[in-house]
Amino acid sequence: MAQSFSAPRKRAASPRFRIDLMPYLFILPAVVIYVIFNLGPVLASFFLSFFRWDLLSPTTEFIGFKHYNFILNDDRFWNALSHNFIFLGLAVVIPVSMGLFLAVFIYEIRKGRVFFRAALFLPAIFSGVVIAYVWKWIYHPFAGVLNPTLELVGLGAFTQSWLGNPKIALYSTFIAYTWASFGYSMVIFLAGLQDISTDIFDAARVDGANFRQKLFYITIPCLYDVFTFVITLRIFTAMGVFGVIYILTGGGPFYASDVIDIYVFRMIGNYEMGWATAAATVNTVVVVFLSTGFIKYREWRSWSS
Amino acid sequence: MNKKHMAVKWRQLALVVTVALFLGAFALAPAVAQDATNILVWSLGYSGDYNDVLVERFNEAHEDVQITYEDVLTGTFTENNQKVRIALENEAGPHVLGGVDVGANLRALVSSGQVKDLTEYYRASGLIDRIPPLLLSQVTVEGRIYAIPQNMESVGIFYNKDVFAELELDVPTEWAEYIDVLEAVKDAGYYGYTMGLAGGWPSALMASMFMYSSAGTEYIDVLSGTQPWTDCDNCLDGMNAFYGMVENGYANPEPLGIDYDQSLDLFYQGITVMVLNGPWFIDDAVAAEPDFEIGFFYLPPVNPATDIKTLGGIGGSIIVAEYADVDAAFKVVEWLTTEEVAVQALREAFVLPAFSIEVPEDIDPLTYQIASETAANVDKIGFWPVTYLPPKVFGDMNQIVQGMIGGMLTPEELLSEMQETHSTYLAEN
Repeated sequence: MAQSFSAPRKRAASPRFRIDLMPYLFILPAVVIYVIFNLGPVLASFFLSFFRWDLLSPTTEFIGFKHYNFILNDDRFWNALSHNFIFLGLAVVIPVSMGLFLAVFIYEIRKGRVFFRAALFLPAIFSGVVIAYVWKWIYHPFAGVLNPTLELVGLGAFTQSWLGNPKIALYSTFIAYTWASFGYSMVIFLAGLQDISTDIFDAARVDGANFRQKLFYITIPCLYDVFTFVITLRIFTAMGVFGVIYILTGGGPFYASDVIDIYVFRMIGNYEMGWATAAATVNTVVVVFLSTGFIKYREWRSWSS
Repeated sequence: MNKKHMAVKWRQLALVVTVALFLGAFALAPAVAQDATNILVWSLGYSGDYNDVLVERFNEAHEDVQITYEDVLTGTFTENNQKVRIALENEAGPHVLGGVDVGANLRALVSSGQVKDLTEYYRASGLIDRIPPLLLSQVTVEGRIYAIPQNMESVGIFYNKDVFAELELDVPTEWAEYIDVLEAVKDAGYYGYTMGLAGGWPSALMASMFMYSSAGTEYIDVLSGTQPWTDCDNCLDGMNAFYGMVENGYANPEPLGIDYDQSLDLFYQGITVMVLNGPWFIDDAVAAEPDFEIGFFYLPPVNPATDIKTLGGIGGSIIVAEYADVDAAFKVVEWLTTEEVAVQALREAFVLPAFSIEVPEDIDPLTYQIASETAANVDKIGFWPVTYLPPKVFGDMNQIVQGMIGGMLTPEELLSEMQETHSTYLAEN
């Protein structure tokens, strides 16, 4: 009788302890790319902030927390950071509320929805550089369209040097930023609105709810998570704003529209890599603190209610 | 022999000939390549298109050395400097770099050991006799020469000749005459002085021109950190003169609301009449095709006793230290400083040479005027502030000058602010 010799079969792992590797394999390429191109540079930047390096010397000098000490005592750093906070404060109110109201408007209309959605989203697909150059010419004191338009409609008293006046230069750049960014908020809100069951709106209509009541008692509460996402996105973009301001004012006049990323860019331009990366690290910490804090607060409120 | 058989024979023959040609080409190609030394160049010191022209000319004229040109330096001044620094630090740079802003870069390149010492080559070639001593000082570090001065820039006033003729104005040679011209131009409804400082970069250069024009070499002491900004009364006079362009309505309105390019449009459109600029402006003006003739004069000195006439800088050719075949590389550098190439560059690219040549009279009149005046005043050039100032302080200076032009700082406060910025930097380093 033929005998078969085979290795004893391994006992199959119990379903409770089985680790399915397949999902990890699927996300592995993305993780590798993220580590190489995102996390790696961030860590390298943090490491570099403890060294003095001029981009050229083959050697770097370890100087500990000296760059952090300099930055935290630098009035210009705090000036730039304060402008980021002003930008942030405005960015979570104006582009977000514009996006919400336009989304509601587009959601409500029956005819021309596609046209309005495309037209209002159009600025968001332009490159930031293009948008900045467009606004540079809009604001031009001699050839721009803004001042003559104001004069035409009887608001000549408001004409001025939009980018050259240090009191309003930051706000002028914010208008260009808003024009470029409200479209994103709008399409995200629109997607959120389309997820809300129409039964709720129908029931409200039957109960005699008006537009304001539907907005404040149905739409906004139902978009709670969408708000969290949109505002978090605004925190990232407002704290990392660069291109629009750099092209419009370069952070001037006399640092009046300076923000952290321009401060960092200036440091890199000056071959002060350690200072630049230290400032970028501080900004990263601020952004992480703000965004995480905001998300945790929203989660807490969501649970508590 | 049938047709089919013939066709097979021909095919075989064609195959043999093709293989033989390939083998011959492979056999010959290395021999040709071995004959010429290849030099990798990122710039010959000119704009991209003109670099191409020069490379073609060089390669046609030389069999033993051939240039391979990579158009890498296409960004701004700062971006290009960053590219050069990163490439050299990673040993990925070219063999030769022409037209490097030596004032801003040479010391750093030398101290990091990235450039060849060319002193002996320089002496042997006889170039040393053709370079004015002041320009030579710009390429010399601790007694050794590390770059060959190639091209230069000097700043002056470009003016609308038609408006000057219309108002019967003469070219001013003294400060008081210059003010009279500005007044006359203003009375006629024009703006005399073109100013576009949004974005920053021309601010420190313009301010420096006025400070050189008043303080002369004393301003170099200030920039070098050996004299406090606040102790330089002549610098203050220069800043008052500069601020006077805005305060007295000589400059166009809203200088902080428009940038350099937009300010040039005001000049081309005949809204402003004079613009402080360098020879690089000629190329731009030719492209803009304004419907008036442009003239040039040096800014009359704010202080008649000043020993500096203009603001400028030089571009030098360097050979990267890691590149071993210095003889071949020097051939490229030396060729760039031949009179023939320099005259062609003057004629075709409006670039002034940083060594003595016979300026031909049959070139563009404006270029001839600038080249001649620069040659006559080559020992009275005050170099770019970034030659002496740390880059960070120079960057801050652009913003601080904006502060004065915008009325946020007085000229005295500007000097105090510069002193504080400069001394803080020096203390930290």
